[in-house]
Amino acid sequence: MISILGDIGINFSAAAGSGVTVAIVGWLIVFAALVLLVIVFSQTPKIIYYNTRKKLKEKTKQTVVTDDELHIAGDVSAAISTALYLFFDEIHDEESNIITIKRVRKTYSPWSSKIYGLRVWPRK
Amino acid sequence: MKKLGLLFSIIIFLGTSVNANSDEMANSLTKRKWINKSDGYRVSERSDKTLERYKTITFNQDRTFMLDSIKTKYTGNWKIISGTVYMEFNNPEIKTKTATFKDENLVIGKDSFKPRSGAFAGLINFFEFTGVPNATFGHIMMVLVGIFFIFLAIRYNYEPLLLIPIGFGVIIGNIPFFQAVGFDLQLGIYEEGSVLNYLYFGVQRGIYPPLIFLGIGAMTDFSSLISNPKLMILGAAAQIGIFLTFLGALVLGFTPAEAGAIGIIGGADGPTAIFLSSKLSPHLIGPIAIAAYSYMALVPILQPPFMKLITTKKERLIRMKPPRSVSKLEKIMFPIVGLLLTAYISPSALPLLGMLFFGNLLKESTVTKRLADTARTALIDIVTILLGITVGASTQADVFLTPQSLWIFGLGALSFIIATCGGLLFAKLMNVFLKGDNKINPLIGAAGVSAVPDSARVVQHEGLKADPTNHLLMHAMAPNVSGVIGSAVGAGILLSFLM
Repeated sequence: MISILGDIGINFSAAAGSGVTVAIVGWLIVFAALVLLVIVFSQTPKIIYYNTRKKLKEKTKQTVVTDDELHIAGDVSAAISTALYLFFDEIHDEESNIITIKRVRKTYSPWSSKIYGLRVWPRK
Repeated sequence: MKKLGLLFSIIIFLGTSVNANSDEMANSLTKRKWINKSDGYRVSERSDKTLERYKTITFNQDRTFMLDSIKTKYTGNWKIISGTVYMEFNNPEIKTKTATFKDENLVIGKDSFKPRSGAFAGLINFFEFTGVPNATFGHIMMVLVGIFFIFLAIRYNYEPLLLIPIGFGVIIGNIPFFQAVGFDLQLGIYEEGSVLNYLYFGVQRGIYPPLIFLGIGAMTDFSSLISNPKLMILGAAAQIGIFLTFLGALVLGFTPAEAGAIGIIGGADGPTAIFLSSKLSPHLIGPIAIAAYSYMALVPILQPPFMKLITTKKERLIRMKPPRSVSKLEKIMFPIVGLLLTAYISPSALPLLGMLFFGNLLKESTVTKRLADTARTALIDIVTILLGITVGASTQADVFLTPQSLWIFGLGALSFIIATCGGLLFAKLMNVFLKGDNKINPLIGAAGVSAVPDSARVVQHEGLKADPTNHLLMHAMAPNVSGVIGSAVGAGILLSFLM
C-alpha cells in the first residue's frame, strides 16, 4: 500500500503559516466578491423601480408600495406567456384549408435512397 | 633447399586456409542479418523506466555494414583479420568495434547478435512497432477505465457529453506504441509535433476553458440569481471545498502550486480546474482534469447521502417563494456589473470571468442572437470535443498512473464532499436569520458547488423525493451559477497568491 501511495507523508507544519493565510484570505475574498454582487443586485431593483414606485404611490394614494405590487412572480409571467403562446398558436389553425400538393415522381435509385443514407442514426 | 621448399609450401597452405576461413566468415556475415535485443532504452524523458529494444546489423558483400538502432542508423566498413571482424564506422566519433563468432552468434562487446533471415528481421521490426510488445499493465488498466467511462455515459447517462469524449480519449491515449528517448514517432499527446500534441496545446495553455465559459455564459439564465441575490452567498460558501483541500494537499506534502491546482477540484468546475492547473502545475493537468470531470459526472451519487445527512426531513420540505420576474435592464446590467465587481477583485480570473459575462451579455442583449447561438451551440460543442478527447488522451499510463494521481483522486472526492457540506451548512445558517416565507430550503446549498446544471438537478430530485410538488430547480440554479462565478474568482485568487 505504501508503495502504491508513494512517499507522500503527512506534515501539518507545511500547511501552517502561509498556507492557512492563503486559505482564509482566499475564501474571504470569494465571499467579499459575491457579497458585493448581492448588495448591488439587492439595491438595483430599488433604483430601477424608483419612478414606478413613486408613480404608483401617487396613483393609488398609498404611503407604502410593496415589492409584490411592483413585480410579477415568475410563475405568473410563465402562465401569461403560455396563454399568449396558445392564443397565437390557435390563430395559425385558422388558416385557409386550401392546400396544393404537387406530385413529384422520382425514379428510385440507391444513390438517393433514404434507406441507405449516411444520415441514418442508430436508435436505442 | 628441401627445407626451404617445405617452409614455402606450409606458408602457402596456411595462407590459403586463412583465406578460405575469411571467405567462409564473410559468407556467414553477409548471408544473414544479425539481431540483438538488449535492455537500457529509456521510454521517455519523463521516466527512468527502460525497455528492451532490437538492434540489427546488415553486413553487405561490398564490405559495408549498417547498424540499425532505434535512434539512428550507423554505417561503415568491415573487414576480417585473423578471425575477427573489424567494424569501422563512418561517424568518426564512434570507435572501431570488433566482433567475434561464438556458437554461431556474433559477439560485439557484451552484446550477442543472433543470425536471422531478412524476412524474419523485417517481421521482428514490424512486431516491435505494433502495440502488443509495447503494452503494459498500466495501458490495459487505463483502456478499461476509458471503457468504464463510456459505459457510465451510455448506460446511466452520466454527463455523456463529457464522459464519451474523455472515455474515448483515454483509450486513444493508452494505445501503446514504440517509444524511446531520441526516437520520436510524433504520435502520442506528449510528443512534440504530433496532431494530439497540437490539440493538447489548448489545454496546456488554458485556451479551451475560457471558450467553454463563453458558451456557458451564453447558455446561462442568471435571472433566478438576480431575483434572489442572497442565494449568491451559497455559491461562495461552497467554495470552502477549494481552500480546505488546498490545505489538505499542503499537509500531504504537495507544493503550494500543486496544492492550489488540486484544491480547485472542489470548485466542481472542469474548465476552471484545467485553467488553474495549466497555470500552476501543468504536469498535473491530466489527473486533475479527469478527477474534476469524473466527480462532476458522479454528482448524483456523491451528493445525496450528505444532503440527507445534514438536512432534516422538515427542512427538506421548506417551500420557497417563487422568484420574481427580472426586467431586461437588470439582465443586461448583470454581466457588466458582475464583470466589473468580480474582475476588479480577482483580475487573475479575467479570462474566465470575462468570457462568462461576455457570453451572457451576447444572450441578454437580444441583438446578438447569432453570436449567442454560435457560442452556446457550435463553439462550445467543438471546444468540448477537443477538450474532452485531449484531456482523456493525456492520461497516458506512464504519465498518469502515479501515486500522486491516487492522492489527487482522493483529495478531489474529499473536496467535493466538503464543498457540498459547506453549502448545505451555510444554507442552514442563513435560515437562522431568515424569517417567514423568506426561509430557504437548505438542499439548494448543495448546488453551490457549481457543476452546472447537475448539482441543481440533484437538488430538484432530492426535493421531489421529500415532497413531490416542491420544485427547487429554479431556486437551486441561483447558487449553482453563483458557484461558477465563485470558483472562477477562487481560481483567480489562488493564481495570484501562488503563481
